[in-house]
Amino acid sequence: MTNNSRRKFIKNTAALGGVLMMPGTLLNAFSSTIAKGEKVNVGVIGVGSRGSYLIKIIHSLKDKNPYNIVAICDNYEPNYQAALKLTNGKAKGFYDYRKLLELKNLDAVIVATPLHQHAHIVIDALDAGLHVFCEKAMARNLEDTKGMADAHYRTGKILHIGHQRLFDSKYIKGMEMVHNNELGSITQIRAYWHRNSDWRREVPAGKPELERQINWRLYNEYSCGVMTELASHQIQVANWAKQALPVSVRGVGSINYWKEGREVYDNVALIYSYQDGTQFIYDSLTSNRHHGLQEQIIGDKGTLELETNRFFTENPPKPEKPAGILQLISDIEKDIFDTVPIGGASWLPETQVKYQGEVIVEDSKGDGTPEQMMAFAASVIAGKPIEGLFEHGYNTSVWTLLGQQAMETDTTVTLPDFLK
Amino acid sequence: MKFAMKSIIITPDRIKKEIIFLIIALVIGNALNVYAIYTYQTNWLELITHLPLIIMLSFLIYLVAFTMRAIYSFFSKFMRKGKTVK
Repeated sequence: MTNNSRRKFIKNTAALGGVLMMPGTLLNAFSSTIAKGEKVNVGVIGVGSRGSYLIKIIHSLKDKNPYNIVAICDNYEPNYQAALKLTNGKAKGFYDYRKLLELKNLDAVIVATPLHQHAHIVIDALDAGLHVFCEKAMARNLEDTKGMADAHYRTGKILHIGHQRLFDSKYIKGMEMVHNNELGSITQIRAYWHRNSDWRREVPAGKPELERQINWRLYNEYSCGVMTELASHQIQVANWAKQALPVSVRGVGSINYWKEGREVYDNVALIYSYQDGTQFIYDSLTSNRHHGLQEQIIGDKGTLELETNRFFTENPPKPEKPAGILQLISDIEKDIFDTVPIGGASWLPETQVKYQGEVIVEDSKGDGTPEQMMAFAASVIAGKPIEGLFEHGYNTSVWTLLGQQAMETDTTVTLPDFLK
Repeated sequence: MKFAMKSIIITPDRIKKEIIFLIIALVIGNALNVYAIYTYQTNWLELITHLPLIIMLSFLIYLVAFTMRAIYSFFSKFMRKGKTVK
């Protein structure tokens, strides 16, 4: 990296904490460009569960669809065949992404391969002059993550990291409330993702050699498990809410339930600390789904629960008093029928406030993925990225990997010098 | 066997008496409403908005009073009969 590009890299990433993801920017990013009816010729590399989902999302855009899917690529035959079917045979199929990158009519590629393959595919695509949409997290390690950032800045091509919550209307409105101080001072962020499943995909009978390829999420060589697959989404939300980056992270993880040969943790608990003393408390587990997933932004004036689209003010409106005569009847009834306490607890537990809250956005639909795909197409057509978006994804990936490092080394981890 | 219908004669005095009891019940019902509004500091408009409830409550008071009067009347008649036999 030259001194100039290094300075640019540091300048860009150093400002990341302060990058304000303007909701207006995100929502308006695609509207004007897409209206012109231009199309993006795109290749999809990696058409497993996420890649094929993205193809379906693109198809669901119907007459607003700004994409021509001209090629697909996967080295796993069932996925390859299924994707060709999904595109009605209109897309050209490849087993080797390098062949796909040689196509002359491509504008961009979507990368939805297993995590450890992101870096070299993305860097090759950027170097081939293509814009790239890459699913989160960026890479399996910090060096690859930085390498992808370097390639993005060096080539000037768009590198859009897939964090769909940035395009989800309830998150956009929620963040607007946070940044407009409607929650007061943000003093804590809590998030969790609880599942009760082993996360295993079926390996075809008689082909045990495919185990690691199919169940790549369970092996350290390819993935950080719940950290890169789940936590990264929620670390992104925390950074967005704080408009800052953590200064340190500590945490613990273990395999305490799925002891069937996996290498990645099946449960994690971490604390990310921000400069102003705010703690982001995170946990994930795979042996209970009672609490599901949630991101709670907690301020002295209110709480947001973003996954369920709820806002809870600290001073909820008092319920309307019933009519006087009804209160009188109720009191008489109580005097007659209620038992008389002759002793009781001297202390009452501070149980959860029984208040259902208010919706953040009426008629909130979807998870932001269609809007995100529209935004990427608009970026490609306009030839310029949405300001701050890449940096947001980059920082999320970095702090996801630092969280993993904190658990593996049992230490408090800060940003390493080579990323400062 | 033949059943002979017995004529029950409600005298104007009796009707007047029952109307007075009903009016008293209505007054008590409204008085309770005024007391409740004052005590629980709710809206005075409830004097009108909750009138149907007060009317129902008044009928209940009237019914309770009627039952008590009927019991009293039954026992006092019974007592009088006993005295006459002696």
